[in-house]
Amino acid sequence: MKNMPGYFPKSLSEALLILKDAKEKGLKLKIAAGCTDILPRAESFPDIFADGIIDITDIEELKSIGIKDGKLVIGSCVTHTQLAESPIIREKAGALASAASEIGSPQIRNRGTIGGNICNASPVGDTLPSMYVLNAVMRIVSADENGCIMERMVPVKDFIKGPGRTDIGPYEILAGIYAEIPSENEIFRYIRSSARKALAISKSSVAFRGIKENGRFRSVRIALGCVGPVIKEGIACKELIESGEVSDSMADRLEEAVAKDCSPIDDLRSTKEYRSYIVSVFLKKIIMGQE
Amino acid sequence: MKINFNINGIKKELDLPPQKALCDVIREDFGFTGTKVGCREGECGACTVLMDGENVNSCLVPAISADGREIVTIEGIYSYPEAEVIRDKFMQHGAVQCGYCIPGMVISSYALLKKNPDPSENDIRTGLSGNLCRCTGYRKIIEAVDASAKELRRKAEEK
Ligand SMILES: Cc1cc2nc3c(=O)[nH]c(=O)nc-3n(C[C@H](O)[C@H](O)[C@H](O)COP(=O)(O)OP(=O)(O)OC[C@H]3O[C@@H](n4cnc5c(N)ncnc54)[C@H](O)[C@@H]3O)c2cc1C
Ligand code: FES
Ligand code: FES
Repeated sequence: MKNMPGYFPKSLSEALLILKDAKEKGLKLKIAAGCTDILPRAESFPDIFADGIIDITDIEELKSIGIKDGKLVIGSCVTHTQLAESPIIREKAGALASAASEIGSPQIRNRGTIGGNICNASPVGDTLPSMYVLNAVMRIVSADENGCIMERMVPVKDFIKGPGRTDIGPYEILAGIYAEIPSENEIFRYIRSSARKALAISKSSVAFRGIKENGRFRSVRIALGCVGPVIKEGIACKELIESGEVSDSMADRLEEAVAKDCSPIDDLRSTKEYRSYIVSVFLKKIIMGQE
Repeated sequence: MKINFNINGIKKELDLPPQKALCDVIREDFGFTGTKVGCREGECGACTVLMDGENVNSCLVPAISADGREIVTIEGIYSYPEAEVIRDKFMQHGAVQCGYCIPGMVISSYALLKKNPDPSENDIRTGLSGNLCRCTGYRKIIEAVDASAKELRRKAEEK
């Protein structure tokens, strides 16, 4: 095993200066958060660590959850355990807490972070659908050649470029996530299906947000997971659900709308028929108030 | 690179590749072979240890991430009296067969009961959901953890 430099910065500015320095020297460092995605790959891809490793999990400012200007502010190194247990997340965005509480196992949740889940850009990532419906914006930071901290804000749908591909550059850090807080009269849910409860990657998942008044939904946002190379927005589903009063016949047409919105595949975890069907069942339960 | 380890209270500075898995540091560089390695991908939980009080898969922790953090393995856990209760209940309930999963099971049981002293059966199943056992069928393990919780609560009340 190759010995290489490793860094364990205690502040964001220290981390950014280490990255700036590496950039000037033409070295590539692997940013390590919980490593629950990196390490399982290390055996097959020993080059994953490139020229060194920078662990960002000791940076206090990346580990907090708060509310600022009416938005949830979640540090990138917040773990799934923290998300699941945070009183703020449970109260203001319960579905995100429940999504986090179902990831992997206690050990994975103690280490895996929301930033790692997002940067991994997997269509099966369990925090991603909620990020889409909460119109989350990524705060990306880096240091310029003078060492000044630069910041840019990128909405999640532009941040995720494809499976495993994001907008983040090799010398940038995802510092935090700004997400909308659903209003009190809004319904916000996340449901996933998997072969077993623990340690199983989702077969399909859906995040839903909308306001129900007098039997009708408005301001609906839907994000579908595991049904394509990236998270899909449920546009046909939204149109159908907003088209009139919730009814059995609306529910019956959901499967058709799901089919319009996404292009699921057959793979080792499930079939495309099951995937669209189960998503329509989840949506039906949500709009009928059974979930 | 030089990394400062603190494993079961033993402090050592070692020059190691920062990406070396913590489970290998524990076994090879510290000789604590109670920590088992099954899958190396976070599925089986045999490598579970405490890091700063939380149960983690040591196969997924690169050595650098353990720098300055407190690691406790099955060899060190019995410095906590609660863990002795868990060990005794595992024995009384016949919750051990081949034993390969047990170091991880005991660590996860300890972490669970620290957080939740009065777990329901469902809480116990969730708390141990990152630890696989090929032998026992889990029933006796769950009973042992339930009995440990009761015994620890009884002891706490006595105080
Ligand atoms: C056994 C097992 C079960 C799992 N179950 C689930 C599950 O049920 N649902 C699910 O969604 N996922 C699951 N995962 C995947 C994984 O745990 C999650 O995606 C986790 O959130 C990744 O976070 P991490 O901090 O460990 O990321 P890391 O492995 O540390 O990093 C992942 C990638 O993101 C980059 N990165 C991380 N943080 C930043 C940052 N702040 N800035 C820039 N780049 C960054 C890293 O360089 C790396 O490329 C599972 C994994 C395992 C091993
Ligand atoms: S060896 Fe670490 S979880 Fe299996
Ligand atoms: S006792 Fe053999 S694996 Fe659990």
